[in-house]
Amino acid sequence: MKILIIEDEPALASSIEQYLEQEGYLCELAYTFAEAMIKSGAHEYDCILVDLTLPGGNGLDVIRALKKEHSKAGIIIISAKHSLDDKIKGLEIGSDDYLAKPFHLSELNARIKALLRRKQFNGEQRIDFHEISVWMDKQEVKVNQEFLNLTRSEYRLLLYFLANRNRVLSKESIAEHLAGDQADMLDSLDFVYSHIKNLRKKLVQAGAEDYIQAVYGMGYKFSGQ
Amino acid sequence: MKLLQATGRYYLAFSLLLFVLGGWIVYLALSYFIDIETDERLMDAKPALQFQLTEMDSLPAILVISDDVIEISPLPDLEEYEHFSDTTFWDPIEKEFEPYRKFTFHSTIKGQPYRIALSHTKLDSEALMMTSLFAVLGILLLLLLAINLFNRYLSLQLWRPFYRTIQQIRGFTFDKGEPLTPPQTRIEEFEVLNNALELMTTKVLRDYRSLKQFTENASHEIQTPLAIIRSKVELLIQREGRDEKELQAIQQIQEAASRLSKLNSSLLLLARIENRQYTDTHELSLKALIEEKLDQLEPLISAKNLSVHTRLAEVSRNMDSTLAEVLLNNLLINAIKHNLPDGQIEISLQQGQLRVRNTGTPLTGSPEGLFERFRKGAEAGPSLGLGLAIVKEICGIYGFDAGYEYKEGWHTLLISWAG
Repeated sequence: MKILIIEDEPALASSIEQYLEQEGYLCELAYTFAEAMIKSGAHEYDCILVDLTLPGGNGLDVIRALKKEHSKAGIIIISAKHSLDDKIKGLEIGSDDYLAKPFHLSELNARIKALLRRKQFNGEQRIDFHEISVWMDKQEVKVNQEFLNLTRSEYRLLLYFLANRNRVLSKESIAEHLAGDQADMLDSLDFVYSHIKNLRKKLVQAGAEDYIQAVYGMGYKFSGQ
Repeated sequence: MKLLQATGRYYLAFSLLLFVLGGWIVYLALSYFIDIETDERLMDAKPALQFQLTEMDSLPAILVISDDVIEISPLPDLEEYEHFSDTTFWDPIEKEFEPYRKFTFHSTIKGQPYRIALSHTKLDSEALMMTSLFAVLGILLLLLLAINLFNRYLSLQLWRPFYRTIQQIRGFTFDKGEPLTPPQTRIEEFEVLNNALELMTTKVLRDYRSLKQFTENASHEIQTPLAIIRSKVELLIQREGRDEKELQAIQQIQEAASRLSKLNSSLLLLARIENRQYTDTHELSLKALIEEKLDQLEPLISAKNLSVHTRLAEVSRNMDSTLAEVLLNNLLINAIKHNLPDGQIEISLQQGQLRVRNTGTPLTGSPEGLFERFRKGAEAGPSLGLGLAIVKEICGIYGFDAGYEYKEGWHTLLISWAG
């Protein structure tokens, strides 16, 4: 899987690159508009992350150029501009997703996985993890071939864990994934614990192993090891 | 006191003084000329009187001929004497003292020296004088009155541009972002004032805008380093085998960065609201928006095991969609955050008002400060205290009223609007 990261801030670009390479993706970086145009035009990528404010031009023009070439790459806009206009325009001209900065790398990772899955398998979308199976299109979860009844929050939490296996997910990241990025919500992180507790209980009761580990104060990790 | 009233009063006092002074001068002048006239007449009568008295056999002490009174008294010896003076005589018919002009002189009649006093009534001339005096004073009074009135009218006319300018200053707000443009006037002083005001407001607005712009730019620029810190922390926590102290430090960095990031985005939002940058106004169904928001916040609601009751009518408002979302989000999060475990939330939406009620412990501070920035509840932990300040700011934009009430274990936030 090849991913092009178009981001003018080198430190941020390298963070993204590092996280995604640990996921097994092949990453390339472009720091300027010109670089972005050359690289996106010369190679095929499975996914392209586009920052909108670039030295030398606008990320939207990169997307337009890609669409003109009928590129099959999935496109995710990552922008610091909290502008609804940009979001709407970006989706209109053919980007697949929009992520506002600052974002969690785990969230970006989950979005990329979901996008690639949508692009690759047009029919059945299934994730397997040991005795757990998830059918994305039907939103069904089975443990050892038995249906597991999860609330919507628990279902989304499970998917988020599955997308970020063996990763430590911070409580903030989980909270934002579940309830959206809303200001002044900081003290409400307790709800994360409550949903994790419920999900863990249901999985274990259904006969799955306890894959959710609390990582000291920091967050949680979903790991089969 | 109005300037016009003040000048009016001075004018009036001055006019009164002028009136009294003028009356007095006219009176003095008139009586002076009348006396001279009478004196001349008396003087002219002197030779005829002397002749008449010579012709008489005996001289009485007092002699009254029509309007004249003649008093005669003998003198031991003759010395030259002529004197004019004012006097009064009793009028038995009118029963009052009447003014006379008296001419006293010494004269020798038939070898005997006499003091003769010839008095002529001033009654006729007095009447004439009074008539003239009143006529003159009347004219003067009318003149003063007319000048006063005219002056008042003129002032009102002349000051009109000034009041128009004042009216404009009163209506001046930063929100509109337009400098004052008072109407042109012929009066130089007002024109100078208007130009100065136009210049001043233009400058003030420019400074205000650049300050706001700076706040927004600063907040925007802070986001990038924050995003870097957060991403690096996220990479750091992935490495296994760290000891507890290290993990604790990393976690604290993460929390601080996260808090800074939330604070920054709230301030950015406030700055943008104040800069009136959310102008993408559409007719929005508040009912649909509330339902959408409740759905989104379901993880928070279910984690606290809250029960939500809604009574939502189909209400639409013209609002910017971002602002509407933030408004509802902050109201609902507030109701969730300050709720008790297993508590309740009631949301009722009807024409003209949105009411969000939640169970909770009583407020620790004063309710007036509830909508202020950086206001924090005692129990709420590391909250930013900006949620309701943002609510108030948004309400301000659309002219909504935001009110709060606590009664019998329920917090009520009421947003109301006209029409």
